[in-house]
Amino acid sequence: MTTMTAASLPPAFVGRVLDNVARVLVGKNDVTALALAGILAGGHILLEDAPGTGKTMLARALAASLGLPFSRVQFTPDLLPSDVTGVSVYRPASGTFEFVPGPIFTGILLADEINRATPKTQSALLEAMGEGQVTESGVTHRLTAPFVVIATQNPVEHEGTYRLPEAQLDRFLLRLSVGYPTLEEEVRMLGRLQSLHPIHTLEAVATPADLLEAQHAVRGVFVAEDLRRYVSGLAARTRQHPLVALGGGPRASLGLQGVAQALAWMEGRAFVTPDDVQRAAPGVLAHRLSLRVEARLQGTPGEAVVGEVLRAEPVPVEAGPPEGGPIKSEPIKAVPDRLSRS
Amino acid sequence: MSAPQVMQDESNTPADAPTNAALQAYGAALLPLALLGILPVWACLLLALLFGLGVRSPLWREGRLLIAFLIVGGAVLGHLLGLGGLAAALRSATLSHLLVLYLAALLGVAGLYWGAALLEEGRRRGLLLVLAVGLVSPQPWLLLALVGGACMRPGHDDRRPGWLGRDGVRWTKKTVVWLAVPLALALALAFALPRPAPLWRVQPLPPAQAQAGAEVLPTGPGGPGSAASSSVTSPPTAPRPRLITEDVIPAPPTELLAVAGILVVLALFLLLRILPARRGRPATLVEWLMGAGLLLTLLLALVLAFGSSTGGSGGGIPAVQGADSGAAGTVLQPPTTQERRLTSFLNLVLWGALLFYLAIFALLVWAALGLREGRRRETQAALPAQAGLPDEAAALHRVRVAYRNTETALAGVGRGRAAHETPQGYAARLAAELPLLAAPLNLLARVYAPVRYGGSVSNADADAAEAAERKIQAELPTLPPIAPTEAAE
Repeated sequence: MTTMTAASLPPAFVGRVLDNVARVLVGKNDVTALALAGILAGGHILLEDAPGTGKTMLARALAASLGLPFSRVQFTPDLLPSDVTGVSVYRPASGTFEFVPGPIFTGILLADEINRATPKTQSALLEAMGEGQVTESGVTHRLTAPFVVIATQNPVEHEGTYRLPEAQLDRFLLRLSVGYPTLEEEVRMLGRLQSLHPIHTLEAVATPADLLEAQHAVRGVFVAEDLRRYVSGLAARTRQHPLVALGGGPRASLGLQGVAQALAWMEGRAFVTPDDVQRAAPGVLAHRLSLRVEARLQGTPGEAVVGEVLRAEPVPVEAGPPEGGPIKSEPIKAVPDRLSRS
Repeated sequence: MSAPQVMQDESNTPADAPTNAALQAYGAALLPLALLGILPVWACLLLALLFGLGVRSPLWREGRLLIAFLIVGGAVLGHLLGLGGLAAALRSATLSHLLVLYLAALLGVAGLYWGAALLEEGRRRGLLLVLAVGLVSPQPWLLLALVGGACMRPGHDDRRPGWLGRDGVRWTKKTVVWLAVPLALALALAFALPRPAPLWRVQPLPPAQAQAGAEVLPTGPGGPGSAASSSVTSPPTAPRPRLITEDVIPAPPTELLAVAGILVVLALFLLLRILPARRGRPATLVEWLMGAGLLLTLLLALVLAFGSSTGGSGGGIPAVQGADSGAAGTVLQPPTTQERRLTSFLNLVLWGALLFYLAIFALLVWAALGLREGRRRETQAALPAQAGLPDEAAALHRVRVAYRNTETALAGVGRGRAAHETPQGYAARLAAELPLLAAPLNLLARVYAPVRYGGSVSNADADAAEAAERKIQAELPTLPPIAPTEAAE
């Protein structure tokens, strides 16, 4: 594979990955793009949806397309933290303990039905997701970058599950819902999957090095000062919302900016627009909101609160026209700030 | 499209802004006292001032070495003129003494510079360098130089050096040993070692002797120290040093030395001419002094090497005291092995100096050409950017005006943008309502996004935006009336 540059990479790289995933997941380009944006922003994804909607397929297709090593752990109540992170095994021959890495030492870890494991096991992921390392018996083992956790959970069935703690939820950059396909999409899917499942023949269209390079390029996407204020304003409004007990923190703002940068980069832009922020906001903010009892009783989801917040926060656009009607073209008196920056 | 780079604000601190150095750091000003055995007092005081200024200002610290060379060169030049002029000095074997002392002084200030740098980094071994420099010509002031060096060394955590006991330093046995042993050693050596006559004590020749070409005795096999000692007195009947040309390494041609020196000077001028211009400002005083130091060093080295190689009459290094080799024309005893070795050694030094000149010349030319090429590229790169700046600024402004006028006009007919709507979202909503305006609205929103959020637009984009504005303005009177519920929203 040729080395990609920041300028040429977005259309080819993004297009190849999205097309590859679309071979498996029919009609879910938007959620696939958001998931890819989350990965490009260096985050972890929580897929929350009913069983059979394609959560696992999305994770596997992304892993295969990006050429990343893939591990899957089925989270169950009896799963132990060491089953995920690894364990030190005593070797009688040498008389020493040897660390046997767990499935977390991979590129993409699919934590299937993460809410079925006990909080202790869920928390075993915290260090790996936050700091990219695993500490076992006092020894820290670095995870190889890129490292992405894609977790799934069923939002309907709560029996025998353990709700993810806020700290764990905050570690997920995006919470996405795959959603049911439309009738037409489902018909197309049936035709495509009639014989061999395409996931088995899916080939990598990128390498981990490409992904790292893309992640680096994403961080270079320009975010205007007032767009940063807009992002911070959205996070602040979630904290002030009457139905929210605990709103989005600075990590939410950072995540929102990162995903917006990734979305802009995927569209071949070198700058973020408010549309990128608005597109990223529900996935980044909704799962971080701790709603009050009233909201739960009313059945108001986090996404609805984020929608209200987006409608309340003014978008930074050109200042309004001066008194006296439309302005006339006038001679330039100074170089705009944006030009002087470059 | 590549992401625009956000320019980082550089520090506004000027290069010559005074630093907040602790008082002990000015102990660096005492370091040049180590050279009192070689250099005149005034030169040491100037060096002390220079090292003190280096503590106060980073700019002066950068110039320490070359300006110190200037001071040393000034001392030598002063003495050279005091000998009765260059012509007299060239005929005098004192020139060899001067050359040796000059080289010793140059190495001394270089050692002090290096030692000061090490001490400023907190490394104790800088004191050893100061000690080594002082032991070239030991004298009691060396002790004060060492004390200054110990003072100026910062602590490991950059606090004030506490060895004076003010900041609760523990006077352990190790501390005492570290201080006492070098000081005692320096004290003993300062009084025990023989002292060479310093440069400023070498007596100029009487005019009659200088006219007659009588020579002060040149260096002996004992090295610079003994050479200096022997040059303190100049017997009136001392014969000219003879030239040894047989069974020795030949001296380099003097013409070659002269050409090499001239080339170095020319290359230096070229570099000095380019450097300040490259920085876009006139050269500072420190830079002028540095340049002068380098220039004087090269000139003096050239003159001294030239004079030494000719020995007043050309053809090789004047060796040890002996009979006249020229005027009388009488052949005396053949040179001893020791004389031959010394002559070979000095000729080798001259060859080394020649190679050094050529290397310096090549480096200077390489640096000058590199700087000139870099400046040319910068100029070429800046030209299109400057030329394009007004155009791009004008294009940005035109798009901004077109968007604002369009939004104002649409607001005037009740189809304004909601505060939470993005330009793209606004255009999409209106396009859904007014399919006739979909194309110009989408185009305007697409072109406007880079203007507002950090991209760039061309004149063609601006033309398209203005055309879209005109189309929308023209269609406004034909728009269907807004529904009451819609208007209420």
